[in-house]
Amino acid sequence: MTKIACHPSDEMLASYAAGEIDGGLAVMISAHLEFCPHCRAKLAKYEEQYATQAFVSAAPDNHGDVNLDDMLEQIMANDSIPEKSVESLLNAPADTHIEVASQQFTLPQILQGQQQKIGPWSRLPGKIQRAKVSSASSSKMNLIYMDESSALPEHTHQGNEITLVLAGSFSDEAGTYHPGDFVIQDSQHRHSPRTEAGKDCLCLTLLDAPLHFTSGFASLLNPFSQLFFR
Amino acid sequence: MSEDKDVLAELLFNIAENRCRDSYQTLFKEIAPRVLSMARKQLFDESLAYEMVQETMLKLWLKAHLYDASKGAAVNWIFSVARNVKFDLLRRSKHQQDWIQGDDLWPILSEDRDINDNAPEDREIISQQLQYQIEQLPIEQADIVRRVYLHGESQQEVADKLELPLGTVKSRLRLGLKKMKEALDD
Ligand SMILES: [Zn+2]
Repeated sequence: MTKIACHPSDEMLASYAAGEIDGGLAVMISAHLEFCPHCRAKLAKYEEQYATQAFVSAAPDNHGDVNLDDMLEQIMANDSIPEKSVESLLNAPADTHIEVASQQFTLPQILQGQQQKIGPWSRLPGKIQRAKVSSASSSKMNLIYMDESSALPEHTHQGNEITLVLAGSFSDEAGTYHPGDFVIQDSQHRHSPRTEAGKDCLCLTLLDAPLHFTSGFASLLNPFSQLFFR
Repeated sequence: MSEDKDVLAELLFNIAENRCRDSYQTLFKEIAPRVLSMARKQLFDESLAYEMVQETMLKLWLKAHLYDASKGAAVNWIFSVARNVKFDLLRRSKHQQDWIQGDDLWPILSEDRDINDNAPEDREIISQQLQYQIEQLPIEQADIVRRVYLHGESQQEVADKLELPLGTVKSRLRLGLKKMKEALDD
């Protein structure tokens, strides 16, 4: 497997560890962690730090009007429920794959069993397809499928765009990206993503502003970017 | 509970292997109040904080077997369980809002756009597809789409030249783009 070259920043990992991060970004990072032992190790360090703060150093809350004894009893009463049905309450049976372009792709664990939150595939110009993913976030999350030999026109970003490669590979002016790569773009960057002949690509993207196309006819796409990438 | 790390791991082990109720009670009394503190700090909604504690503690009761001592101290694992419960709660509580559809599809059309950065070279396969789709539009819509997006005229300029109300220009543009979008989705 190709070595992962692009990772979330330390700041992102720390905020993720603390649980204090935008829900959309949390999904992106969780999916990256599945690919990346390097970031998993970093995350464990941060978690240790926060766990110590929360569970070792901190004094327990005075319960206020919350009755924890009742809660304890309710939970223990769960033992009478066959374990299987409780399991199924906790984890709905997960659909692990998604189909696009007549192919099955394995979803990141965090999106497995969440198919109802993944919108229908719609076509973009240039042999690209997109499915909206609902996430607890003010940002827009999408699955983007680029068929072989496809291209998006050059564009900049009005905000940040994060692209996580799930399968296959794509390239832009700065390089080629492989599964697990967590590519962060901001308004400084201009790029035109494309795939090579015989190589398609499935990505998960998070946008906090619509794409802004910069060149020629492609600027015609600007009103479309509102549609496609929201 | 500074040197209690191993104790927590042992409690988890007893819960996983023997459904040991005493172990769980001990674990609960240690952990639940602290999860509550954490939840209250991070969530501003008291009932959500309560849910976070309840779900976390339920998972510890039902899923203690998933703790792998070789991967680190029990307290770290418990913390990450609580943290993930929080992520899930937020995902669930907000997910309704994520399907906003309709009127805000076209915000960019309500303002005049500047097309100063028109590069001379039209490229990409896309151009052809869009050219084709513009040609399929009713003639008065196609005309306005071309003027605004290809020639860079402002909507006001188009209105002046064609002697149309600005609102008509906007609505034709809107209709034209909507048709193109529908064609692309087919
Ligand atoms: Zn990484």
